[in-house]
Amino acid sequence: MKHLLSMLLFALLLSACSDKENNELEPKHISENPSISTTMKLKLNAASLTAFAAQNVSAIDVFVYLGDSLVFGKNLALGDGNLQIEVPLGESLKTFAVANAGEIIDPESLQKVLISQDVGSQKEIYVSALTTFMSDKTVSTVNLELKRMVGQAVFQPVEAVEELTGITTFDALDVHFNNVVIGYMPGANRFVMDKVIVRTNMATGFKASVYSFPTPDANLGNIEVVYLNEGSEVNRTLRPLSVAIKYESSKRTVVNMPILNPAFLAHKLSASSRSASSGTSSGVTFQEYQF
Amino acid sequence: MKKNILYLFFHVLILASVCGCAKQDAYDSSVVRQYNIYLNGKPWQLNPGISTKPFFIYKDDTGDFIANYTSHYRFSLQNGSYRFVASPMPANLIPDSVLSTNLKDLVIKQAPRADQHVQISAAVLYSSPFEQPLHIDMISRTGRLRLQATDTKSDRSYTTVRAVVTVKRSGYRVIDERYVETPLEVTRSMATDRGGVNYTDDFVLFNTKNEENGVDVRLELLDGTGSIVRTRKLDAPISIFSDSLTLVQFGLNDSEDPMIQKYSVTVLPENWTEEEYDAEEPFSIPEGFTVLAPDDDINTVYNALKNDNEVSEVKLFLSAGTSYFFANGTLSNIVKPLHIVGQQTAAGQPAATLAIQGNVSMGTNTGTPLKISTIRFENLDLKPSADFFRFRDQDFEVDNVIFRNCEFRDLPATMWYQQSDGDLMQIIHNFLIEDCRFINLNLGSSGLLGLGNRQILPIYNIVFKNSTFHAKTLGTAALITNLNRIDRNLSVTIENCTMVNLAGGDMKFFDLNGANTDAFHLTVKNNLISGNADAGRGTWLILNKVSSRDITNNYYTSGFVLNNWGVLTGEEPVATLLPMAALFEDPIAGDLHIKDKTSEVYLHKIGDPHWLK
Repeated sequence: MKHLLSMLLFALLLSACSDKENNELEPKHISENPSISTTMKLKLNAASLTAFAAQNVSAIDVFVYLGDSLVFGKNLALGDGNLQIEVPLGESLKTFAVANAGEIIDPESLQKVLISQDVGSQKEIYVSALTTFMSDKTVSTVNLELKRMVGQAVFQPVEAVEELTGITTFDALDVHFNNVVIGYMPGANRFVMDKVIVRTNMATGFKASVYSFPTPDANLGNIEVVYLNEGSEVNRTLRPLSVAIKYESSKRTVVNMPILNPAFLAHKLSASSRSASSGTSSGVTFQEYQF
Repeated sequence: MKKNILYLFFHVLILASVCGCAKQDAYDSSVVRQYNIYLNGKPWQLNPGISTKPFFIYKDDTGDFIANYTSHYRFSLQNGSYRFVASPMPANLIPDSVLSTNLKDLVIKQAPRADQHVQISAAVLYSSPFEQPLHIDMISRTGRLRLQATDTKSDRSYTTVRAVVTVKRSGYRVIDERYVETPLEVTRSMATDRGGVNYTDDFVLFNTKNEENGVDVRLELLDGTGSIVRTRKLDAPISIFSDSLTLVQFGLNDSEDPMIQKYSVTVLPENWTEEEYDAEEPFSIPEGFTVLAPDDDINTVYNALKNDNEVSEVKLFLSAGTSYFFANGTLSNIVKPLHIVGQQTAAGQPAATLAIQGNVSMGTNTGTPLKISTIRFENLDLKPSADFFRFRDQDFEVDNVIFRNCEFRDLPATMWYQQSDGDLMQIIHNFLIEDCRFINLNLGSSGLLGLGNRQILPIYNIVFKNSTFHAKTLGTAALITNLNRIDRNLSVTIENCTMVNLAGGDMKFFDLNGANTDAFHLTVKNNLISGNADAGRGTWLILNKVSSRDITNNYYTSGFVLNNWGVLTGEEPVATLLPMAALFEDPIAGDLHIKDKTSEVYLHKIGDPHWLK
């Protein structure tokens, strides 16, 4: 009988474990000492909620740390902005929240946790400040404000769509955004920088853009463009464009380039092929450039 | 039959009257069909399917309200002149309750809860026949004030923070785009269960007229019974800017002082701000230069060129706005001519930054000087980690050393320090500093340009031109020193330079002793000297054995008096009308732009021309 009771208890424990939500991370301290945890409210201010509504963001990631260790990490539905977190009682804790991130890497450690962009750096990421609070009985709410942390660089051709319509010598551009800040480590206050390549074509008007965390130092961003035809490189800009992009939160930098201007390109046009041949099709005037 | 005739007659009458009306309408009304709507200068349009009616239309002459229309469709108006007002949030700003208000009386009031942005156009005149498109720009008239406590220590004596914000503008008059300048108190209470820790509250308020007419902020800290425990107030008005967030951060619990004097104000854009660049055609690169892309390692490229026997000169071209870093040792043994040139930039754009770890040096130690034609740095923001060029027994002979259009900020030590164990083992024929700015020099016992004073290690021609030497500490080391062993002919030119020493005390600007020369030609003209001076101390020039001289047209800022200018009667610099603080934009920080465009310095083009722009 005793043996049976033990087995039943073990089965109950197992089932409790399996009830855990899939998206919940492993909070070490809570599982070690569940009896002294407390539930606190996490309140997001109205400015954040308005911004999220516009972005169709319906959930945020919340992380709470005791020292360097994760004690709470969950993806929470936003609702009306009043969220609940379960944390150890009587501790000085640090928390931050993230919305719309590409990926959260190494969340178990505050010093290592990295908020990362997705491939192509297309996420408009919102991050709160790293906030310290005490989880004592007299405190029930932690206020957080998530702010758009990223800036944006937009590349676009100067030429009108009609001018680009008849191009046959290239069918796509790889826009190389150099020195994009693709990751931010809130615990260590460090940034990760990389080159991001965005492929664009006529369907998108040969426009391309990336989001970037703020530029942390003097390594400003710039842009190079590689011209492709059926996947193979056929030309490229002579050098990075003469623009220096300093990414700042909520700052959009638009770079206009005459993509048909041979003066920008590595492979110069010969005198004969430089002039555009033109024709009309269905009443649309188009120009065809030979690169 | 009679009935049918009457029926027919009746219908003809109706038809006639309808036709009459239609004709009259066609004659008296016109259709408004083309709108260009902007929001803060950027094109704006109503999203499809939304029933918002952004247009409010008033008679121009009487101000009477005519209609509230959507911008989805065309609409007709009786011929005449109208005032059009537009807002992207019409139902909030001009609700139905005041919809029919005459334009002359239409005032958008400060929202009592300070939670309503005001974006509304001017009252734009638009007259029939409405053939030209209607251009109308909806402009943000409000910004957001955020009060934020920075406390980490709670104060449990209060449970509520009541913010009382006194605004000078209580409303906005649509007809003439003017504000109602009547003070108004906006009050909001916020419970704090952490005794002020994490207190944050936002107020959307009309933008302020100027700094003096900002909003006043008072914070009343209330206990559980609603009694005021303490009142604290920001000691100066806060400015509110359209479409921006003014973040005011302060400590609520850090002091009992009713006046909050320690706080920070940060203005942040609320929405996306936009910058637009048109990529310029690729810049021209001087012939023979190797261009470094931003992610190229300059050490690798330099070493490859240095070790390539086919390459006679190392020529590197650096991209503007990009940082490059020479590791310790890369430049410690220059063996061939070196040109490092940055891309030229327009005013305000960052130059290429070149950081250098360790000393730069060149030459051999064989007793036969290595001959090098040119060492050249141009268009760069240079950041050496220690003495920039430092030589210890290396043997070389260089025709030209050129620093042009470079900035040195916080140079940690000297720029050029020669030392050798034999005469004529280190020879420079021409040394040029042109269009360079040294900001926050901190010279100890070594001069900026210091030669060995035991052996003959000559620089025969020294030119400092169109440059700035701004020193936190100058001391007696001087900007040029130890020329006393130079043989043969020496020429020194110091022209159109601005020299500032902030430290005061025993300073020496130039120690130009040509004791061992056959001839010493000296030109010192159009310079401006400034800084902090102590009476009875300091020397401008120490001169010896000058064979020909042109020391003219030099100025010093009023109040800067040295013990000894070191020149002949008639050669002394002339005092400017204004003292340092009034003449320069920010001399302490190294911004030496001339504020007074009528000053003699500006009119006579004295000092570094960089600051006269």
